[in-house]
Amino acid sequence: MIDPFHINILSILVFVIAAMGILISMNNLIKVFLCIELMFLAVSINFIAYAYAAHNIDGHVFTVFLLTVAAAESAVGLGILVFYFRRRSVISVADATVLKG
Amino acid sequence: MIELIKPILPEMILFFGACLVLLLDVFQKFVDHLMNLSSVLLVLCIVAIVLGVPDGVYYHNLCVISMFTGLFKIALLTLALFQFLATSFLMDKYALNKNEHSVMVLFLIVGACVMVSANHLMLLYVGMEIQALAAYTLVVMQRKSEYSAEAGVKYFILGSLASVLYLLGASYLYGAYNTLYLHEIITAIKAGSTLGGLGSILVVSAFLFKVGLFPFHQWVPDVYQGAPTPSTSIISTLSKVTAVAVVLKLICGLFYDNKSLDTRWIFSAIAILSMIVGAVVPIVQTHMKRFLGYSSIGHAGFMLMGIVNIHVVGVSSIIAYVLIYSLTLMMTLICLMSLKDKREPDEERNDLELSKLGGLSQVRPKHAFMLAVCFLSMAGMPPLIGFFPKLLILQYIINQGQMLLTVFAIITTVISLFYYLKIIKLMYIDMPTKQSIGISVNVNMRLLWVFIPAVIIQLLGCYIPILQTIYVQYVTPAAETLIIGTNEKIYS
Amino acid sequence: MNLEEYLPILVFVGAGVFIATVFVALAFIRGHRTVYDDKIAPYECGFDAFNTGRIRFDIRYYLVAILFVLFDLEVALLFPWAVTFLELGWSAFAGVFSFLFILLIGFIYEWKKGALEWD
Repeated sequence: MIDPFHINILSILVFVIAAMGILISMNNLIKVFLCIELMFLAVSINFIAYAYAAHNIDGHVFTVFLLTVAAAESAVGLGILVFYFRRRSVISVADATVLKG
Repeated sequence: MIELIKPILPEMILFFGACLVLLLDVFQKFVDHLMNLSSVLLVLCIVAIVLGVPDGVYYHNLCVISMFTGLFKIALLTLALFQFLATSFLMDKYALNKNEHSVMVLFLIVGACVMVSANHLMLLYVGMEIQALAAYTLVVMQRKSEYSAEAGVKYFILGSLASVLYLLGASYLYGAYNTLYLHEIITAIKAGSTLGGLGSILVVSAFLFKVGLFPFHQWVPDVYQGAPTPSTSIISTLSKVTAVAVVLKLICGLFYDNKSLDTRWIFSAIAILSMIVGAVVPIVQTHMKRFLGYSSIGHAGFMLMGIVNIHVVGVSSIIAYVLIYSLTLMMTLICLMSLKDKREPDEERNDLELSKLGGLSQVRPKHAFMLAVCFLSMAGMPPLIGFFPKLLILQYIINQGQMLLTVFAIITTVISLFYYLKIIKLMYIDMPTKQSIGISVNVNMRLLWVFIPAVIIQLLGCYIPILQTIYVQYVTPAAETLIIGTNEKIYS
Repeated sequence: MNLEEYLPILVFVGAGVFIATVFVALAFIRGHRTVYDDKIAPYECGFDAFNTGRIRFDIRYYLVAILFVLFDLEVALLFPWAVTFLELGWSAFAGVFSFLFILLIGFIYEWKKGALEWD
């Protein structure tokens, strides 16, 4: 029998994969954005699992909102990416070293 | 109909007003008067809050109206109003669209108001995202500057990670207690559970990120430096005030009287480490806004000391601290904005180097006096208003017997006094050079309208009774609604 | 076996086929046809059909992608309402239409700003 705990482990795995992805893909901003989206999805798996186990609708509603808000957030992120590319002609986070002190 | 929307009337006014300003700007109508229209909207919103609905919960417990939310919303709106009135004629020096800037500030305040009065984890998340997206947009508003771009990328990535942390924590809280309502979680968490404890710590740490406390402080100096100064002023004050309000709400709810979860040592460690970062790192900084960013980490740590033991006195002194500190920081940044030279349309690296402040007292004596007053107030010199909240927090932690925290607080305050005095020495003793800021600037005399009230507010510290009246009548009841009234009084 | 319940679906399929046929036929009969190289290329956006996949995209594609993501995914909020809107009544209707109104303001803004122009 699958209970929320197992799905919790799945979501933690996806979350950790996404976190590792951010660390190893510092040369490409788009990959970083993909990993952040993956983190959002990992969390929404959690919500769905708990909502299903408890027969409670709130988790499903939260997931719908989470998806749309994450879309808005990634749109702003892509906008910032385009702006960054136009100024610097690179999309590597590792090159973001103008600001330091 | 009007009864239905009355509890959220302030947010409605702000939101639809912001949409109106956006459309008027894009259709090129009344372009020169739109910042005044935004200011009028802010005033209308303050009126709507003051004349608003009685305290209580609305919309099936989704939204709380209390002394606490009213105080914070009025503080946010007043800060934004101050900025609009002061900078409406300074914005032309910056290579950004000032009307879109004010629209984004209005959206940021909408998100902030939603966050302050939310009683549901999903509403809190949506408010946080509205606020954060507006803040990202404000940072990248200066289209010609690569510093702005880089600060935007850093702020976006780290901010998204913070919201993911919040969501993970919210999902654990939901899993542990099967509800998303904050007051039900607060009632249930007293029983204690591992999942719930983990969730509450994750949720709170996301907002500690927004405040810019020690383990999550890396974004603060970069964003402060890279963003155009009007945006820096908004992010460093409005976002921080909101985040402090939510942190207070969450900590007082989740960790008050919670036997199963002892968070005192965590918050003590965070406060001490933040104060150390805020005391040591600014000494070697050479850029003005970067310097202010690092010192704000120290101030945030100082504030956090008031919540180590949760008590009404501590919470109310934190509220006093964050409001007075934000006002002082905003005055400093407005002063720096008015010194900006027109010959550098986009904000390049050298624009606000500390060395350019050399001899400012001979070039621009009024600005130098204003900056000196603000810095001394941030350092906590007694005749000025900044002394008052520092005294409150120190008194509180000494009464609580937290000697270690007291020692660190006093040492770091003395070190911070050193670096603030270093800048005052730069302005008053050093000689001006050709590079000095403010030589070619054509100062508009309307600035006096800002400087005179600002100096009066700063000198209010001389007259303790009026501060005491405000503190006792407004700030302490706000803190009481947070701690005493959470479950028994409001949710019946 | 009660097949009457499936009658609306049949009507729906029929109407769909009819409307599609009418539009295609109208375009076929009334439309002007001019054939030139760019138009019959596999990708109308101007890419070579046979090339390495690792070429750089024009940054403007990302701008279109941003707008698409926004307006496409926000409709996800409409979907739960659309399946249950008879039970939810007028207050939900008003809520959804205020949401659409806000999206409309965003759309007017991006149109006037020129984000939909390619050049």
